[in-house]
Amino acid sequence: MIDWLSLLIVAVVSVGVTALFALLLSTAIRLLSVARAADDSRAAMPATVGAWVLLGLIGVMLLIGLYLIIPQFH
Amino acid sequence: MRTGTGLSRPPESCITGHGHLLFNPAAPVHGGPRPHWYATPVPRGNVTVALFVVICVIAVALIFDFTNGFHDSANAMAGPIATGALTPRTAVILAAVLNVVGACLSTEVAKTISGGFFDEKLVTPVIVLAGLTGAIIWNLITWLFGLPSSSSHALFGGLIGAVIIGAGLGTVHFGVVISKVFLPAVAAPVVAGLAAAAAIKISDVITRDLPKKKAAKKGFRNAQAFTAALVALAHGTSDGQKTMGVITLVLIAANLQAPDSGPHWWVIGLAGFAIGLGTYSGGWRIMRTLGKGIVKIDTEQGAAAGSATAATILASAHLGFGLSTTHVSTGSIIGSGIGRKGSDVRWSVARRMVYAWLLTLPGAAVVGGAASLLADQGLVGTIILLASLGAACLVIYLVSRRNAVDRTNVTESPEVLVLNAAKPNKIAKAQRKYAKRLAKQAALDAGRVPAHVGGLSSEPESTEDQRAQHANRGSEAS
Repeated sequence: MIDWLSLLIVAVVSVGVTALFALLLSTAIRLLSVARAADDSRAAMPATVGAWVLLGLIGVMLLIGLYLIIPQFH
Repeated sequence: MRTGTGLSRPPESCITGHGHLLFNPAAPVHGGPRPHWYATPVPRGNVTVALFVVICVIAVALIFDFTNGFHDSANAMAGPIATGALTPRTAVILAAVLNVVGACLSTEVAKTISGGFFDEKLVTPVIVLAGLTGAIIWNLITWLFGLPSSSSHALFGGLIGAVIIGAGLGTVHFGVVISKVFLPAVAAPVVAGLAAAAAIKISDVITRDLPKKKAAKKGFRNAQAFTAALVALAHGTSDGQKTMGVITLVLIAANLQAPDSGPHWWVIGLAGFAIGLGTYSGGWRIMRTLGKGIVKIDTEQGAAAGSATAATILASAHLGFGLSTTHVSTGSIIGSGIGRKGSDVRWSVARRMVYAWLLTLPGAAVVGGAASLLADQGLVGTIILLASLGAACLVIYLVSRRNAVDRTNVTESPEVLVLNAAKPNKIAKAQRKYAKRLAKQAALDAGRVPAHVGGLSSEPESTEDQRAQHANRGSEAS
């Protein structure tokens, strides 16, 4: 009667997605922080680009969330 | 809430019969498990009574929708308000708008009201009315004590109580109650707590010794606001349709709407408006408990809790194991406290919440059962039931005014004090005690000692920057 497998899947996916979100967000914030602290704008470029790529991935995650929430999309 | 599955369409034979109305509100509910959404020709004189019951169900369903909104606005917005990511007013406006949008997006009404807890054929307008009454009163009682609890569980509890009174204890499937109510109530905070704890651990490791701390806080605040918005929208789509479903099925049963049609535009509008208005009104007592009462969270913890809440809700909604938004968001906040080294989780408050969750279904069932007894007495009983509901709402509201929590003082204290009317000095004593603790906190601050005193905040506008200063002072001192 109790669907333990579904519960396990929900638990694994929830923890995994949240951990991925935290990883992307924290790394992006760290890179941005490093870039802003750098004296040379040229040296800050890789960190800035990396940060915005990660923020873009976070944006994609949020859009997937929106896709899942809005019933008209699926 | 995610555990609910809404309403069920009555069997085709029940909604295509003859007579002025397709259900007989005067039919006795007692005496065995008989379906009542059946086609029973009703004398013309009873049409007015039946219409009155329909109007009552619609009105009470909208009141339930309102309480659902204000009870659950904390799920999304307690964290952002507590960390200062959003101001209280902005947070409730955002949550209200997103709830209304969500309610309007989900126009496909749910398929069952019984949720598998009992035979669908037992559901009558009177049972629905009694169930809604039980859910409203339970929601208000838990709100008075500042305790978050699942509105879906309250609704099912009310319905189950009414069904037990009408058809006996044997008609309830208690195995389903355990698998859909009690197990998720335990599993949801564990899953969400694990997710939030993992997130804050990762976040703490990566953002250790950041050169630009203030800018980092802003990033976490923005993330928290976005995840809170997702949760609010998801709440609108799941809970908004619950009331629409109730009203639509009552209209279909009353032959006021075609059997296979969706909700009327005015039903969508009214349900969306009710849940939006409820969300805007804030449910500040629950906001205070969730945001300040369990653990003192900073922006990193807020972002971790928000992302864990959003991820767990979406996973549970799409992977086949329904979890309550309330339980998930509470578990996330607790998890963000457990994951952060040195955080002080107030387990006594968490324990009280778990008790409230486990009591929600039986508590609402008792009220729903009593309401069913009244509603079964015909028109007079229904009027007495409505009057009792109004009186109960008024009494609870008046008691809450003795120690009001609103957007101006929601972040001032971690506690929600409820006045015991028999001992009017109790509240004053509690307030004096709290003032002493504030003074102690101020003394600690003056002595430049980092304060992690059980989620206490000495100032209403205690911001993350101030907390960061505390931490910096602590590290300087060491």
